[in-house]
Amino acid sequence: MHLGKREIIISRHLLLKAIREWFFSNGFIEVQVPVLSKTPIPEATIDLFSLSNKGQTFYLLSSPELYLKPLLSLNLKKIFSITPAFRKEERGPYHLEQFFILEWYRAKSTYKDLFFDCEELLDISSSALSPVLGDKRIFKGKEIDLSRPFQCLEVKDAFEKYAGWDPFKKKDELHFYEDLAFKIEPNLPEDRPVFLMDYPDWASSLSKLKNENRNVCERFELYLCGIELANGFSELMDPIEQRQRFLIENIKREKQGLKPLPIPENFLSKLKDCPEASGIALGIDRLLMILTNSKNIEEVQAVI
Amino acid sequence: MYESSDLRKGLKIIIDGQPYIITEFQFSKPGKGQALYRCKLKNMITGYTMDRTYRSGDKFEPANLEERRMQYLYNDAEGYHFMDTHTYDQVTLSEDNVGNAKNFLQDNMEVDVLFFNETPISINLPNFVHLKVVKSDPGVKGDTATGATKPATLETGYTLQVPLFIEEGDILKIDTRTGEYVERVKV
Repeated sequence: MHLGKREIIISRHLLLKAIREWFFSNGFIEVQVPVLSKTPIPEATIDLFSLSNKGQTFYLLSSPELYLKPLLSLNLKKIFSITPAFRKEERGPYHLEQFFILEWYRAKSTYKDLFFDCEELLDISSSALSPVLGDKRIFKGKEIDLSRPFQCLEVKDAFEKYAGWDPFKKKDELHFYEDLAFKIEPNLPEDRPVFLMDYPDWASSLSKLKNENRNVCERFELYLCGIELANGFSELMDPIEQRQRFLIENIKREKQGLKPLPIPENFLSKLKDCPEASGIALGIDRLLMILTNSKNIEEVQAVI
Repeated sequence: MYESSDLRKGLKIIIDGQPYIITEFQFSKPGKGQALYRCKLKNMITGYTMDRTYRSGDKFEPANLEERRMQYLYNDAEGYHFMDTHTYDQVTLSEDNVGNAKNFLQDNMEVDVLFFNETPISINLPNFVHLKVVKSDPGVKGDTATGATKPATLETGYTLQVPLFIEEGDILKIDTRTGEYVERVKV
């Protein structure tokens, strides 16, 4: 069945309503954060839209992390936000220059505590669409199976199995992402979720490294039907280490011909007052696309 | 110059001095990774296809291609000769460059000749042409199965499958993209 825009917009409403209700009933508070900043988080692979006002440059944020994570320092233990996000020159079936992110944080927790949230959220999201879609969820001709627990796959095992090398023995960033896109992702299950977890230390600039193994960062990606849906990790709260990582990201940016960004000093200054926490960002449009069996995320935008 | 983000299906670029057209295109960007632009490319001179993956920051030279409407004159040992009907300039293409189009070329037919840096590299025919059947055995009597076909040879020497009712001397409409019979236009 192919849904019309009217059904898509109703589905989006049902999805957002169910997500908000789940967060409220689990003790989260909703936070509304700005989308403009003079000091965004420097990330090597994200090009930001900029605009200027009275000689100052502002950037449209690519995620709410800059504003959301420091709020943990106010003794807010469970927070979430649903915000627009902007990334330049990203356009494909699963990418748009503007999309919506659901991001949430749990104080006093690690990345594995988020697995439960993900399982619950996919379950309630799927159920929420029953008034429009009925009982079954089909994506690309296959019935989606959300039975729990979701499968876990370590990055190391996935690479050894599908790409034939170990990214923890050889640091080759370019080769890593190319194989991830063209050798690992096509081999992930097409009809169910999977957590791809434990990335090499250099594969996330904001996540904590494992205490027992500093070559691994406590990060996972939730895939649904082979499509990346959410990125979660144990949050790095060490301002000194975080500053170094931002500097490295800026060096990588320059190598790719992108302008280095100012260091977000305010963000860094709040980290020391934050408790241990885990945080995750989920693409609302992709989730809606898969659950409504749409071909691309443009089809699920509320645009006619 | 083009940038990676300009890449898309149908774009023509230069690689190692040769013109290529992007025939398939896929944008990927695994979380926290660099954007990857995967292309299937076809060499516009040789027809050779290859896969390439590009990243942000890569630059591409646009292929300097130009199409000119020309008239087919004749072919001989040198190749296939065409003439610009405005300037009367003549060009010659090799059999390789003409490719399958040779099956459908008729004297005086107007075609588009594609030039790369002033050198003719290929021709584009109209999607449909009318050609006469010069040889086709009569259909076997009693063979009335729906869709039954038999071979027929056209005036260009090209042989294709046609319905049983086609006879020598008939004019057929042929799809030059598939090389297949479309319909009979004149008995």
